[in-house]
Amino acid sequence: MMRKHIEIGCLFLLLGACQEIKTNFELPILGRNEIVTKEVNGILIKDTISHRIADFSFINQDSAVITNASFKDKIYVADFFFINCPSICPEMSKQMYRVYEKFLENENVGLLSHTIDPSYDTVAALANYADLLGVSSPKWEFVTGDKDQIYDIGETSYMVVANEDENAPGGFIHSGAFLLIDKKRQIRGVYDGTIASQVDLLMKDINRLLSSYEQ
Amino acid sequence: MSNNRLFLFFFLFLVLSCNSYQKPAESHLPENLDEASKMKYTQYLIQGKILYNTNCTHCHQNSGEGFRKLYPALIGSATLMDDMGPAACLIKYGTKASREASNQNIAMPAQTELSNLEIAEILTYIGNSWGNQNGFISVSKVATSLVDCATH
Ligand code: HEC
Repeated sequence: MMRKHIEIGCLFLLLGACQEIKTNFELPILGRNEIVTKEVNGILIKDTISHRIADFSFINQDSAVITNASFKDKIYVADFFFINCPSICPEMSKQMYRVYEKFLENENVGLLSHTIDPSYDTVAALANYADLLGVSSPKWEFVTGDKDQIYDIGETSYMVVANEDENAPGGFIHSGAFLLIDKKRQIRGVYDGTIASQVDLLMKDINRLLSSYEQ
Repeated sequence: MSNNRLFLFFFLFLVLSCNSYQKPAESHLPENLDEASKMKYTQYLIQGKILYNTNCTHCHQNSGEGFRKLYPALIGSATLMDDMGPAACLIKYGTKASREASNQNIAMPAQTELSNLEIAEILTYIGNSWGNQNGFISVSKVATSLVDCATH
């Protein structure tokens, strides 16, 4: 009888501890790790390379070149969209705009929206879009560029689907994911950019990630 | 027995509340209508709201307030107030996306799958909600309006 009480006590203690961890936990590092073998002093050793966003170079709404260096010492939220997307993008823009407003004054946070329809979404079209939305660079970069490079980075670095498909609304299938990227180019969170509560969580995680740099 | 009776009451209550059409709270219904017109008007408002919520809210938002300058507000919209004709064309055929997209609105997509009845219901709803008071839009009004927008 006594024992049982102790057991239950322990259980509660554990649960309590979990709760503790939950509010303070570090954000996970997402992505596939790559195992490479390399030669050091004549012996082959295995090394783990954690997943990182590859080098990129795109053009933003003001015709400026945007690369990884543009987000040096910043954390950023990335997504993939296109202007004439009839389905999920309006909601994504609305949700990303919430993040924009919330972190407007914080220069350690940036936003990066890639168009997946670069043949239509030219620099001028993106500038017009940003203007209608009432946002500006460098806080929120809208980028266009080489189509293959955009699709490639979407698939292999950010690991979201972006593909042309005649049958999908607007001609593309793509995910409404928002990705949180840290200062080391690592993915720290994936959120559904069409759901307000997911974006609430993203904004909490941004603060959590920011505070991890303060310690 | 008493349980059964309670159930019966509950059932009757449900049936009755389903039967009495309730217009959406944000919509305006003129007072001097006869029963039949009132019924039809209300039905259009109810159906129109459902259609609006599935086809339009993600751009124009729940209460027609629009979003930033990207998606115009439908409250007090001149396009809606002037004449429903252009609005019917817009809903069916959208606006042509232009490649020289600077300093202009982005495109509204076509929704050619919407029937004339559905467009009439949507127009009746958005034309008479959130403060708009534009009167009832009939199916035949939509049909005649759509004849003129082949160029869209
Ligand atoms: C993908 C986003 C999107 C969707 C979905 C959408 N619209 Fe629009 N709508 C727009 C844009 C953008 C404009 C501005 C077009 C322009 O001015 O060239 C517009 C303009 C309008 C206007 C004219 C407003 C004015 O005052 O100029 C009306 C009325 C309208 N939409 C009704 C609807 C209705 C009804 C639906 C649903 C059946 C709908 N829209 C669905 C984006 C959308």
